[in-house]
Amino acid sequence: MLTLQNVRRTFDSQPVLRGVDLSIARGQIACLLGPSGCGKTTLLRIIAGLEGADSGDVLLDGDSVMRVPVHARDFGLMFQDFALFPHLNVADNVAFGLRMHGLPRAQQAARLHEVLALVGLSDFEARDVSSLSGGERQRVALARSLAPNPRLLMLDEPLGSLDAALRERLVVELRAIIKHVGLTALYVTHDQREAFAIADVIAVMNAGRIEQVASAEDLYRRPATTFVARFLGLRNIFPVIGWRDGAAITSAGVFPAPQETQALLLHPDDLRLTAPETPGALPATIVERVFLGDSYRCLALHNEALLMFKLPAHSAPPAVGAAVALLPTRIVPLAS
Amino acid sequence: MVPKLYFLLLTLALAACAPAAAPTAATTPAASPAPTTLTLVTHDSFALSEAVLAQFSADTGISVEVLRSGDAGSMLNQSILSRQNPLGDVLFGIDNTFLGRALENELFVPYESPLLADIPAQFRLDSENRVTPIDYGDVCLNYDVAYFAANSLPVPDQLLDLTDQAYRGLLVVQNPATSSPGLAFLLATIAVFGTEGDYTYLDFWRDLVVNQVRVVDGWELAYYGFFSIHAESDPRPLVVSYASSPPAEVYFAETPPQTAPTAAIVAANTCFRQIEFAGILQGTDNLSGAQRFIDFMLSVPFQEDLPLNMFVFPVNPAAALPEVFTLYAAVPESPLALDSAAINANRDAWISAWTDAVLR
Amino acid sequence: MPFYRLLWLLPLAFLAVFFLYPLLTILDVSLRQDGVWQLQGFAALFTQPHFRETLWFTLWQAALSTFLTLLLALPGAYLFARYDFPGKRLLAALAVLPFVLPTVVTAVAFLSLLSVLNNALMSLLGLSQPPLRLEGTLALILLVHVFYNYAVALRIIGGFWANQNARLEEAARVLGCRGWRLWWEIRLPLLRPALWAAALLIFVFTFTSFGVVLILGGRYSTLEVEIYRQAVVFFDLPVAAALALVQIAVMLALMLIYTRLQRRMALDMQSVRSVARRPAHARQWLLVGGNIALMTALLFAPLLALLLRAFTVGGEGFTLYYFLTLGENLRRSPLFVPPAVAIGNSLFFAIITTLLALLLGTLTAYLLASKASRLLRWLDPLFMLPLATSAVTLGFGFIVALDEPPLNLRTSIALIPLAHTLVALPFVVRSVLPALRALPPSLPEAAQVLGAPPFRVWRLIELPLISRALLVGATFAFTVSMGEFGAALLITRPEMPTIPVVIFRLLGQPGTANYGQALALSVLLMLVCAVSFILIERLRDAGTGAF
Repeated sequence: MLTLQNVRRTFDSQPVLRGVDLSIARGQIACLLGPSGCGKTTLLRIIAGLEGADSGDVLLDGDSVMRVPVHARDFGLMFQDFALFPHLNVADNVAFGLRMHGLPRAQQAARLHEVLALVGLSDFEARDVSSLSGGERQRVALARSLAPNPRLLMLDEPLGSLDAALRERLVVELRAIIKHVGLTALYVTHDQREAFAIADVIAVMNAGRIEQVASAEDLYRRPATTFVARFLGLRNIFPVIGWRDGAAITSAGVFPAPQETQALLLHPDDLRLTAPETPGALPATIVERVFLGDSYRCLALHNEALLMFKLPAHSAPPAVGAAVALLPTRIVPLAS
Repeated sequence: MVPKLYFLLLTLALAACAPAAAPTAATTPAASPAPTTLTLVTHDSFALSEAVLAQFSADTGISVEVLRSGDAGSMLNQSILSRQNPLGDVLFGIDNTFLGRALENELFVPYESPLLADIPAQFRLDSENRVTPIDYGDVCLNYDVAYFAANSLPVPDQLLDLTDQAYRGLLVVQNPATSSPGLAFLLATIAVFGTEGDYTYLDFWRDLVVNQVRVVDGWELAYYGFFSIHAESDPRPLVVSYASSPPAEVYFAETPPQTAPTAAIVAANTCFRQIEFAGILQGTDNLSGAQRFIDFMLSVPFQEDLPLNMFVFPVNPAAALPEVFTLYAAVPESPLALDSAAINANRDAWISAWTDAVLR
Repeated sequence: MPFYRLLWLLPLAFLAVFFLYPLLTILDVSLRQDGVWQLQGFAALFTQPHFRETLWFTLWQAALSTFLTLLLALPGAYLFARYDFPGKRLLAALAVLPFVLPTVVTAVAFLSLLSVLNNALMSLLGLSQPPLRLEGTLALILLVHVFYNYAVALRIIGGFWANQNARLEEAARVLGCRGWRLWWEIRLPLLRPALWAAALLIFVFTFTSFGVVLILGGRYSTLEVEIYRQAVVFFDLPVAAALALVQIAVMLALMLIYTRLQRRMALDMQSVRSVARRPAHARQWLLVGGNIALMTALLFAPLLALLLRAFTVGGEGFTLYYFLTLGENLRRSPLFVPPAVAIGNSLFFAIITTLLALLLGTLTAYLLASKASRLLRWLDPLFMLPLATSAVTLGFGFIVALDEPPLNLRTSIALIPLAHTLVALPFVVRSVLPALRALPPSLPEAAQVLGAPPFRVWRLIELPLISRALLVGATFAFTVSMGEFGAALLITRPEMPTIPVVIFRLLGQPGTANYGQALALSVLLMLVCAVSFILIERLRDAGTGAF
């Protein structure tokens, strides 16, 4: 439905977007995930029409929208700071887009009630926006962007300014609402938990490029690059330092890998304690053990490589200093 | 915090409503030595050569402090308001158009300077010598010599000429309510046409309006904004100014010309004479110093210093005029005058009537 | 109560001593003679239609002037807030210049411009009569009011706009808003605090217009002119006091409406960094260019006409003579003041005034912005009153009130910066207050929590955030002091003549050299001010550039 083709943008001779390609299917919630400064907000603003691109194209249902002015794109955009109009009350904020689209008064009122009910703010119509709590403001902002029934809903770190507990609750709610309405949405965040919770598909951005587009599960299980793996908080990444007979040499050992592999991820979730004589087992010494409540996190030294793995809380974990053998059952090749 | 704050304001407000200034002891004990400073209260146009003033200080040991307090009207009113606690010792710059107000308010201590004997009687308007005449100037029509020559237009020689078609749109005057020469010119028209009869001063002014007179607020804008030798927009070759303006045009020219570019009309019954007075302020604590300063103002050095500083004429006939005055200034032989008490009694009514007739 | 709130007493005490006390004293002297109340002045207001007409004219010309100024300055403020273009700072500095020009000089400038235009039109269209006859018309008064007050609107609105959260407008655009609706529904409502603040200042200024109406008005007269006439010419203090009280009452009523309308808005202002950027395409450049053309026509054409006049006075073609002789006492005139001395004196008073006004004005703004009490709101009009009070009345008040030790200041040179500060104060307050009210309380709170003591919080957090507003206030305070103000109000001492005083002195005497030098000095006055404005801007950059 939404397609980005080779979008580029440079600010003050600093390239911010270096050729972004992306497609989002109708009804999908897509997420742009990346550290701050990676260009995700700029990309969002280009899609919204608030910024221009130096080159590239933004297509909606196959038609370029690059020449369509902001106000005519029929998109919804929820800002990080919500950007609620301080001179209007809740109802006027929410109905603003409806008025702009010239909806008859009666329909405006009906839609207003509908949307406010959807976000759970039915009694808030006459309230001043300055009197709202953070969560309430977020709902008003959401209601305002939903009200005109946008073709595409964009959300720029919409939970960024809220506390963690509230965020965790709202993100689920947000997904439920968007899915209930059946909108196509593009969600920008730097928080992978948020991204995993809300998105059908996640595009990880780094330094003006998209590194990988995948579902949350695929992304976590099979990160494509070192950056993605690191950004998702995965450990056990070992750079390839040489090749022998088509196998990659790393400080953790030699493993078969495809040609362009730059590093290997010995996925922590698939690193298991095993008997020392098991083929492929890596002998190691436990150097650290931390109890996390639901699990133990252990660090073991194998040659010069530190390997991290987890054990369930109910297991009997090896003590620090114990000699163990670890079997990597999933070795993920990382390009770049 | 807040009650305290209001208390402060209330206190100040109450303080303000109490009599402003308790009368201070007006006289200094005779035993104390005469103060060595003297304060001269005057208007903004006052000027004097440093050297002349320095000579006074050297001769008397009195240093003089000058305070300028606005135009002549403001100066006078401020002095009246501060009568209980005067701003200074000597006031200079009150003229015959406002003299009545000053006398009526008993601002001055009478003093008959020994030098007054030499001053012509026509300048000595107060028989009690509460004020001393210092200088005079004649408010006269000035004209652009080149314009009148180029258009072979005769120079008007009586006020009534100004209502003639030939002078339509040529005259700029000042509002008498805001300008001292403007007031003097109004008084001139009153002296000529009177306030009663078939053709009063108001009739004359109505005719001037018909003849497209331009009225501006002050001398500065009339002279520099509309008088044709300086102005470009709606230039007017006739302006109300002083008989001493033509010498100033010579004196203050980039290259002094042979003949003055402007001239004053000094024909009989066209000019109004303003006489400027000085007086010793009631409540001075330096009476002897003030008297010496009045003497000094009548003395030849001060009198001779006046013309080039303020472009006025000295009242002391012994004072020699500078060359630029003798060459370029004309003195009207029979200037108009009105009794200062009559002026004082009617001034406000005349100005109001003029305003109604000319501006509304 | 933290001890630093005691500082709030400072502006209150200043206002009480140097404004309320002299004002109440002169009103008392005027209205109560020999212990008997003289209320015939008020009666005259009702019996003489002339006063009613004057009041009515004063009101509607002020409203019209304010409206026109805002209308014409709004595009400028928008462009200054949104776009960066070459010469922007210079333009902003130059726009304030009219403010410093004595009214007589302004009158000369406009008359010169008129003649230039008329001559051009006459030769172009082959007319025999000048087509523009504006002398003494209401149109000219309005034009000059816009000329004087454009900068007030430009700086106050532009400064506020530049700090406004740009997302609000973007949100509106995404929701389908554009064109005039964007102006009507978003921009103007969001600007409301600054619009009201600017409108209030301009209204007060034009409501109390003295010089402009007096000099250019012809048959028009404002209340202020009438008060002068009653107080100085007729010396009818009861009527003058009654008129002054009417003036104050109108102003108070206006201020109360203002505070009502100004019901605290939660304003979304975040970025201190300017959102201004270069015009990107031809249409935006056209907007910028068009506005510069408008500013040129409104503000710079008269200034240029003045400049032209200053270089061609005497009718002998281009001459530098009057500039060159400014420093020479050609005729050994005792009136002579070297220009450097006059400039030095002017700068001396202007700097003291600016510092004093910034200090007291900032404190006042904090006082008014505090939530300490609803009663404090009543103080707001009080701080505007000095602007709305007839200068003659207040000048007389100084004479009768400040005449005893320890406040024997009526003839003191110290009264000059004090009186200037009184007038400059409202500018600082009106500039700083909106910025202060828009300051997110979380910011200073965050700094406090991080362990910063109150003064450092202010210095490191709040000061940079209100610095733009302070700069605007400082520019106006400086300008008020450099300009004509006070010439009619105060007793001056010849020892310290300022530039306007010397200009008046020169203009008070006939002769081309006096005229030429007065114009040359006016040009110099503008130059000194322009350089000062640029330095003030630099100062701000140096002080807060890191933020």
